Amino acid sequence: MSTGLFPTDATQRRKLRVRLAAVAFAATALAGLAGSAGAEELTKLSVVLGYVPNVESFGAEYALKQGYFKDEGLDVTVIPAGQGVDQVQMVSAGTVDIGISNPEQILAGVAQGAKFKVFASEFQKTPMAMTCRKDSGIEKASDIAGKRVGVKTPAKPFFDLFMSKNSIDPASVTTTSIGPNDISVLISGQIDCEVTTFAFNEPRLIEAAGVPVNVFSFGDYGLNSQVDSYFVSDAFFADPAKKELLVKYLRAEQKAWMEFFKDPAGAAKFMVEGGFTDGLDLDQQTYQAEKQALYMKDAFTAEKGFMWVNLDTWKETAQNALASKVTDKLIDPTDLLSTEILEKVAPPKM
Amino acid sequence: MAFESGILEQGLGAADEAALHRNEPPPGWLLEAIGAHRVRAVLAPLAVLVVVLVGWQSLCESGAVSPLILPSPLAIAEAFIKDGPNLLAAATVTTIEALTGFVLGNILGFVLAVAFLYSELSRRTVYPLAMAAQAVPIVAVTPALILWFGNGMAPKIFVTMFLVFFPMLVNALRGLRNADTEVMELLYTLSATPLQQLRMVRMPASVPFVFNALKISACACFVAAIVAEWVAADRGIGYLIVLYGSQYRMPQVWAAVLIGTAISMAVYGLVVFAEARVAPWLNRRKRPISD
Repeated sequence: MSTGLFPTDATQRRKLRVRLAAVAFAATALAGLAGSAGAEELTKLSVVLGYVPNVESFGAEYALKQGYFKDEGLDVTVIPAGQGVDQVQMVSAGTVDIGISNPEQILAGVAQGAKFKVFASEFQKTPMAMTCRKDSGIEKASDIAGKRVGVKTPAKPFFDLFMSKNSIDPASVTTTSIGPNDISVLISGQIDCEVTTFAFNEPRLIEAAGVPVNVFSFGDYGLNSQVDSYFVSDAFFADPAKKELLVKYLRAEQKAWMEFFKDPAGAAKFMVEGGFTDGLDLDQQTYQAEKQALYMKDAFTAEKGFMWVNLDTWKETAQNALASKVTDKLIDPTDLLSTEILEKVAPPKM
Repeated sequence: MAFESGILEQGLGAADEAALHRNEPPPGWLLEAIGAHRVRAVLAPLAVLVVVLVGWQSLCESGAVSPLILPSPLAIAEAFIKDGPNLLAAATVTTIEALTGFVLGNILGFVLAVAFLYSELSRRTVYPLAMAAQAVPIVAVTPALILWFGNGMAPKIFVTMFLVFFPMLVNALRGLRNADTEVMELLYTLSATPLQQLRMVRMPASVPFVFNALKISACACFVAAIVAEWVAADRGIGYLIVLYGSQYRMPQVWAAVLIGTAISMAVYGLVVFAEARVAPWLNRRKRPISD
């Protein structure tokens, strides 16, 4: 009921409600505008991992989950790899911005006409290894003479080179082809050794099945390579704005990797419990996390910085790729590698 | 055929028709027309093929498509020349695996069909298992097959056999049951033995079905052998595809695929040829009256 000039309590409350609603609407609208402006500022970037998500790809997954990429203004899409996903073809076709792959594959792509730029590397020493049953008595590479070795089809040229480099007569070794993820033939005792395996993946699984093994890292036998190298197309790298995106990307990933080194076991737990992929085993992932840290750092990274690309290692890999006929010509990695991004990121020397 | 009959309908005079009925050689103008039609029938698809190849080559040369994704036709031709011996040696291995699996799988399928026809017990006990076996993702168990049979041709032949026997089993069983009821009754009254029934009536009745199964498996046997080689092999077309693919030698990959396709089509052609020789009435029956 109105009483003339003086508003009643009810009228005042109604006006107050209207004012509050207006203020709330304005605040929401402003927040919305600010939010959409923030979203617009994020730049899209895609990366295809080197393998199925596990501790090997902790950097990208953790940076994404913790918002490190967002903090750098990036909206990153992480694409899992695995059987049938080819990073070199994807980057070459322009379906993804950043690829993480093995140097041999990158060099093979370059030999076939693709143009790439490698700007960082996860591993300094290759985790690629030969895994042998302990009961086979193989204690050093030359011991495989007279033994049975299972070789994955794409690794055959690599294994031939390994024998050649280590003065092993191929006629003295019985080789048999095995499937890409097959460890059952080694466990069952049908073969004595398996090539190639990841130094801290298959060996652990084989030992978990009750078969003790010896692991021979190819890096110790003249076949080193910077596995899980980060690369983009030459055209992508030529664009200064996109180059800046790579700086932001690598800075965020490096931040994540620093968390990894603080607590590898915690990193393994994060990957297993994060539901990134099915079938990860916590024990194996913890083992892998602790071991892989040793392959990611060495005297070179202590001098230059974490994830630094090593021209000498790439030259060795290029020679090996030619010798094993993975490439039909010698690729000079000098122009293929670039430390420009790393220099801007200035990673910790460790 | 339709074109030839069209000529006959439209332009054949009474004298020509009479000559044809007397089995005399057809007149010259008719032969020329048929010849021109045949030339066109060959040239038309050839022209389309040339246009496609030129377009494909231009697309690759323009740089619009990465050579790691799509090689040019000329690069594929070069791969045939450069890696021909390797490709042919691999193709020989795969052909042996595929054809051995094809023959053994089809024999097994047919023998099982005959067994199921005459033995209620075997049909009730084995047929469900055979059907269940067909649902097994055989490629997934190929590593286990390598454990059992080693890494030679045996696991590839087994996979091929496994994929080939079921179409033959189902088709042959249906064909053997497709015998004319009246003829079967006649044989019964003549006291024909089951073997005589099988040989004289059931097997001829099953011929169209058997050839259907053979046609299905003619291409499938090659695909099966190549897929088995993908899993683990050190020879064969499937092995080369994996090896070349891992090195991004895409022209060689395509060359290997084309060789596989050509041999597969040749096997299919042989089955069609055999069908035409063994059961010529099947093709005649399929042709429309207007032909």
